[in-house]
Amino acid sequence: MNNIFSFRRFSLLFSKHTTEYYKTYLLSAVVLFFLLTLGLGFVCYKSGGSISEKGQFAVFLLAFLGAGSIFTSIIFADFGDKRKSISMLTLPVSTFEKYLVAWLYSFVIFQLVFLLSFYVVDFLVLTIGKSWRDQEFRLLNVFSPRGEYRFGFLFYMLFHSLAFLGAIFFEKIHFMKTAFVVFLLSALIFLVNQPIALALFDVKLEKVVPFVGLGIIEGGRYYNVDPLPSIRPVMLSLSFTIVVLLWIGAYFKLKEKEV
Amino acid sequence: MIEISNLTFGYSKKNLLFKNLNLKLQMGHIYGLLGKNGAGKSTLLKNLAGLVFPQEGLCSLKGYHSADRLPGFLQELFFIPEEMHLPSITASQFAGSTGHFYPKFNEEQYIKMLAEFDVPVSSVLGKLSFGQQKKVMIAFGLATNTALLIMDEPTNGLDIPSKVKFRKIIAGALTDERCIIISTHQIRDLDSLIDSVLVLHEQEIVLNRSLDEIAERLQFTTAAQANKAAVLYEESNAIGINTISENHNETFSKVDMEMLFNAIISGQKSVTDILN
Repeated sequence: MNNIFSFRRFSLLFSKHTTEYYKTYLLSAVVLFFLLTLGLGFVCYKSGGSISEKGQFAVFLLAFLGAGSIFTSIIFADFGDKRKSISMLTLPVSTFEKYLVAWLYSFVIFQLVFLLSFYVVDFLVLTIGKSWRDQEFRLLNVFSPRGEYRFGFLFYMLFHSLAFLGAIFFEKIHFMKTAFVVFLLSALIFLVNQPIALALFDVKLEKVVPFVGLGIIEGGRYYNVDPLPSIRPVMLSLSFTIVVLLWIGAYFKLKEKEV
Repeated sequence: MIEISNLTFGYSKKNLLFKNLNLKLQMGHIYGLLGKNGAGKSTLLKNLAGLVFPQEGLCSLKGYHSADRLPGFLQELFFIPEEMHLPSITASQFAGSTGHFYPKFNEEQYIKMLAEFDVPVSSVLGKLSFGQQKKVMIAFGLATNTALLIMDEPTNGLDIPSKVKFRKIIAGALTDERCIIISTHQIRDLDSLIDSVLVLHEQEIVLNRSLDEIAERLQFTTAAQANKAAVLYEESNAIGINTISENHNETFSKVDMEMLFNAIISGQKSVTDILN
């Protein structure tokens, strides 16, 4: 018997999870649909019946990261409840199979449901806006070949991996606790980054954004210092490494879960 | 065989619940695990089920270590905790969604036991009372036909007729390939059900004997019937004085588990010395 992964066990677990949670997930999808309608509808109304691509993307990104983080942070909620945790931990499936079901729901299925909901709502709102003002609209293409919106998905990966680890690390109020830890870590990075940047650049610093760049004033003129384009693949690889490490961390935290 | 070897466990390193605890349990038996509140009965069961990890030592079943929680091990174990959660699906759907994980799950047996417990298969589990939920879990646990079935306070929440049915169903479900451990502080509920007694006291298993072995070595009688010279422990109640004495003349008496337990935890070394 393969004690790490069996497709039969995995599909049985996926089906069990779906049977037990489909009502909750359907309700969450309906809530997401209404929130998107509210958000896009409000922006459309305020901007006179149309939303620019950037405006659509702003709503997309905010809802994508917000809803995704909240949903992911409760994906392991059963393990925080003593009564539910016992039946989950003693169910004859491997830790990897339990992990994979949670990962699939929070990472793959969430993104598919979100994209579908967003485009349905966006199309409806813009169509209504068009009939109101009779002006053409341009639907946002998050998969645009120019790739200007791709960073949204990278951000989702980062937010997902943080929320995923927080979901199994904390027993209760997962989202708030994870958000608090991320806030503390970000503040620490800002605090450490500032003196390092001061030591490296012997000039007056206007702004310092970790991992992004800085603004300096030299001879009364303002300069933006950005990383070289050649460093971008390194930054990207580093981001992926952090995401994978956080996902691996979540796996081991699940493996060592006790009741 | 289920084996616990040199188990050391505590929720903090300073405050250990067990230190080098050893225990061997055989198939074909129903064990009653007794212990005072806080003795660590539930924790011992959790160690056996792999729900907590020992600081030292191990628990094994069919060659698997419980702390690894591998599917091969979990397929041979069913744990019914004192407090449980059941999803909001019907008893029949529950068998469909969860029974497949246990290779020896018998749906017919499950439905039959639910009928004996008077729980309709179409009832939504999440809406059932605590006692009804417990019956569903007991029926499901027995129908999984796992090598080890652990029940922590299974009779809590059951009414008197259900306790009678519980005893009958458990006795009927025992086979030579299965071991059942029942932990309870309601010792009377185990009467006519268990065949072996485990007593957990002060970090150790102080007794692991079958009722037959206990009856062979000890006699449970009233003070009037007892051989005064052989009395090891006595307890007075509303109708008189009951005693435990050494069984010199091979007269078998019914083991009074409650009195035996009281004798052991009150520090009557002579009782445990004779039994071990």
